Amino acid sequence: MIHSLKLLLLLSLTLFSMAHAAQSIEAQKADKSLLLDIAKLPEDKLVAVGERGHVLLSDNQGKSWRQVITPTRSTLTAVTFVDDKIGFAVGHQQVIIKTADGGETWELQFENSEDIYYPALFDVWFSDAEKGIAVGAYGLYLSTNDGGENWEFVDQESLGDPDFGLPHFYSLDYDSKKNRLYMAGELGFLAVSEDLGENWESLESPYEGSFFNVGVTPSGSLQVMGLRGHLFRSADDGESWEEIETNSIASINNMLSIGGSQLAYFSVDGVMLFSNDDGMSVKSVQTVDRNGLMNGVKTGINTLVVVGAKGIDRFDMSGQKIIQ
Amino acid sequence: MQQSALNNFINNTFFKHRGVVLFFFLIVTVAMGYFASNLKVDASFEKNIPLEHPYMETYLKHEAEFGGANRIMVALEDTSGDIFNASFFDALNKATERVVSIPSINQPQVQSLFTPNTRYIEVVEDGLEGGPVIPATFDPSNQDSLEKVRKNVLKGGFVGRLVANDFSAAMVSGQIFSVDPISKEKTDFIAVAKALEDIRTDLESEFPNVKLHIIGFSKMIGDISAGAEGVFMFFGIAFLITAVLVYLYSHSIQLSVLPLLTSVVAVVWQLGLLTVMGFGIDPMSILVPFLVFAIGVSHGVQMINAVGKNVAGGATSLDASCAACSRLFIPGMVALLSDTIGFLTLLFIEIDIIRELAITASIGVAVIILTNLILLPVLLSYAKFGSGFAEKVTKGAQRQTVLWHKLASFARIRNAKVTVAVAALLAVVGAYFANDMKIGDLHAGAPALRADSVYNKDTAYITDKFSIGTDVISIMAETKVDGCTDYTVMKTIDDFQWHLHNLSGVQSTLSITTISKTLNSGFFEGNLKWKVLPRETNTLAQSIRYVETSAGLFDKDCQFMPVLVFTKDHKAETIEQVINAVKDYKSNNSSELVDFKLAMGPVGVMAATNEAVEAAQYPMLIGVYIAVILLCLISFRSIRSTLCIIIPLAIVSILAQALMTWLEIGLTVATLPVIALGVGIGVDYGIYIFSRMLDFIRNGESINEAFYKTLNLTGNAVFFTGITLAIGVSTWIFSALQFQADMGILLTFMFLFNMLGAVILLPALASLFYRR
Repeated sequence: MIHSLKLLLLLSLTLFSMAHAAQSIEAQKADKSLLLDIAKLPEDKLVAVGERGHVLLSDNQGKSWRQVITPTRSTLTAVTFVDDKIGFAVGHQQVIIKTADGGETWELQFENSEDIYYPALFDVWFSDAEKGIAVGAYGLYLSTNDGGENWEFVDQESLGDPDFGLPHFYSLDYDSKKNRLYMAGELGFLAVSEDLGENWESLESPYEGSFFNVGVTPSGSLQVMGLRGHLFRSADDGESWEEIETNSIASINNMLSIGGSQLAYFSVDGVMLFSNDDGMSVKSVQTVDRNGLMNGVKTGINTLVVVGAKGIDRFDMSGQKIIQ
Repeated sequence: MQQSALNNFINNTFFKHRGVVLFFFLIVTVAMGYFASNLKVDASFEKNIPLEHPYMETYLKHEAEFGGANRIMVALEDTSGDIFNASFFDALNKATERVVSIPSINQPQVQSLFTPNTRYIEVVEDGLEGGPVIPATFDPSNQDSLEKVRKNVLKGGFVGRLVANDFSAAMVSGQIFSVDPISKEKTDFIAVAKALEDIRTDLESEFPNVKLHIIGFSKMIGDISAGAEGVFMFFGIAFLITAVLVYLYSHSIQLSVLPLLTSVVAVVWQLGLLTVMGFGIDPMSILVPFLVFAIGVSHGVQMINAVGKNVAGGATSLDASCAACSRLFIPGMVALLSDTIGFLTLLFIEIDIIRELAITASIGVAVIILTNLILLPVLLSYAKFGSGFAEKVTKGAQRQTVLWHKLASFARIRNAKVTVAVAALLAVVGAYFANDMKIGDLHAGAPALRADSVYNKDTAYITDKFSIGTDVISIMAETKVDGCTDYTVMKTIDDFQWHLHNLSGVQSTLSITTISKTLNSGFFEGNLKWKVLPRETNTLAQSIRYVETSAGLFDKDCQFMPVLVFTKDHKAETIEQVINAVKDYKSNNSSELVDFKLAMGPVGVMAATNEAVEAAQYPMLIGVYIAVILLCLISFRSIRSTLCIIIPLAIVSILAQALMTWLEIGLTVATLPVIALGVGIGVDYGIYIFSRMLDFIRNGESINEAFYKTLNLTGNAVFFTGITLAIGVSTWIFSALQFQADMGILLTFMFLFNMLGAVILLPALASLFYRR
């Protein structure tokens, strides 16, 4: 009963806010603005999202970018694609937008009024075109079963600390081979779900600082990373952890598989870490501009397209910036 | 007044009591000399800016709180390319101490790695941690200690600000008060500049591995003043060349000395009057005495020419002088009045430095009316000419006859048509290029100084090695008290800033919202996903609490918050792009909460100056042309004569603008007056030639004949005048100051071409207009 009332309130808020929604503005230097996530579609189409509702597309492996207009001006923090057409992006003010044409056009699914503060969403994950989860600040957790037509609040109170409350949920990743969905967040928060997010269970954490990302490598190891260059690797699905020496105090934001057992990690202050052994050891590289790096994708055989504090940059596989 | 009546008047007034007249001039000259000796160099910043311009109201309103235009930066470069060594840190420490002790410096705001306000903050597991970048235990001889400082520099984000991007240099920066807060005296920028230069000399000799680069308004003023001192040498050179030329021209020492003497008297009077009126002299108006001297000599030459011819014709000195005085009084007066009026049109320009220039130049020229139209002939009447003098003059005249014949042929109708056609073509081509003339400064660095000056090299070094732009325009966001804790206000500023950030001429932008977003991310463990403006008042307030008001991004009431726009250069089109974007944005996005006021910062001042210069350009030109046209109409009572004089003048004006386009000289505070000066002085030739020619024409002679006779009488003097004036100003071309060089080039061009216009185009036009 309470649940459906909440939903009704939500719906009315959504309708209210739709009337107020403002489109993103086309900007000359959108590719130099704060960009927080990037996704690669089949056929190498790239989609980057970031502040002011900016969404940028590239059809030539990141050499040039074109901005598409979205129905929001809120900062977008994460983007995910189910296939080469359907994708979702989430961000501040609980905004959720959806595309059905590979990022060319976007429709608003969920956004609250501009005038009131709502917690931000930080990651989004879909198991298929219908079923998805979005997580964010202060334990915000939304789920949908109809491709984002309706989103439902899910209270994850049981995952919180009784004294502290719920942490910020920063990252989701799915181990498809073992059907394990992982979630990581503030203050060493780690949890796992074995039923695509229906039920969650906390995991023992190797670290009390925040995790900004959780990821599963192609060879099946689980890695969590975050504050002040902390990186942990588990070969047994989170039962036990090994801390990896990074020689860096730059917080790590994301991990990317770049072929075989090679991994790249993206950190603030322009630090990149590279591993040749599935993350058992890493080498840190300071990139020239020292701009904070958020996430990247690999295009072609040897190019990393990376988004971050000052927009998009391209690097080679040793962290050297590629200047066009 | 009829010529005979004027003759009597002049004779009775000036020549009957020559002794009294001379005594009067002597007394006044001594008095003026006394006043002139008290002349002060006055290099105030505010004189250079259009104070009445609306942008400058914003500037003046916030100047005290935000300062900014008066910053100094001392960069220490380690020639080895790496600053992390004991000797460099020793030098940096010494440099910091020296900068703190500069007169009129805002001591708490001095910043370098060694100052206590240089602290780092880093995100750690249980919140934020911070400390001074150079800890108390710092030991420069210890590698670990140096490494710790290097890490702190990175943590504090001082790379690009206090340390060069490639760690090859470090910076000491500070603000200079315009008025000393204790003594309440106006800051002596030249003393500040000297203190800075001393730091450079001392440290570079003590530390051979360290090279200093110093920039800032005070340093620039110091360098400009030093450059302006070179002016005295130019004056000396111009004086000597002129003296030699006058002698070659007049064949008589007496005739050479007297016009030089009276012209110097004019300069003394002018400088004396300036002091009496409470003006000082600045690097721009320091050129005016030159001009006065050159104008004085050129008019003096007309006088000695006339006297010499009269003496050669057999008259006594007294009669010859009296006749020459009467003969030249009206055209001389008209010419000098038109100069004066030409200068006075500069009062249209709402920039004090130009107005002062207008007043000082007008005074100078008005003084010449007294010294060279009255004092000079009176002095000449005492001159004694040797027996050979008349012969020399006649011989000289005969030698020139060939040239005059050739020149006079321009007045033949067929040649005249060709000449006029060529002139018309030049005018059209000139107009085409003149159209591209740019407003404002076209080159990087301090435009007043040469591109290869030490100051501009230092500027280039600092902008290259550090992420600090010196080309900043800041737009003041004015809102309610505590506006920085209101999300809507902050969001409005942020959107505005982003709009400007996207302009092609903008390199980067900075405002309190930039800091607020970064700090908000800092509060959430440095996670970039939190790099947004906090929405709630208390979080906003918290995000700003760590920013000091001395950062210059908001005032103590959080009501005024400048948006700093760093432009890629200060070319006029870049400035215009920003200004137009601000105006468009304001009209498309009106906000009741926030008003964005143009403009502060060095480029803001330039924007206002450019607009004032652009707005004044046409009124000034129209003013100066109306003035000379009216004067010609009054003195010749003929439209045809007026056209003969004005058309060559106008073509030269157009060509001067084309020259500016070609030489990449922008229309600035320095070059705008040149146009008025060039027209005002350039008209003199035409007036002197035409006043003679018209007499012959009215006697029924052909234009060709009339012109030939005129050249015989005054051609020498006209050529000579053109050359004297051109030499007087051409020495400026070698000035250390770019704007003086620009003025020198343009004035030389205008003086020479106006002279050519008067001897070539004027007779050609006359022969067309006065066809029978």
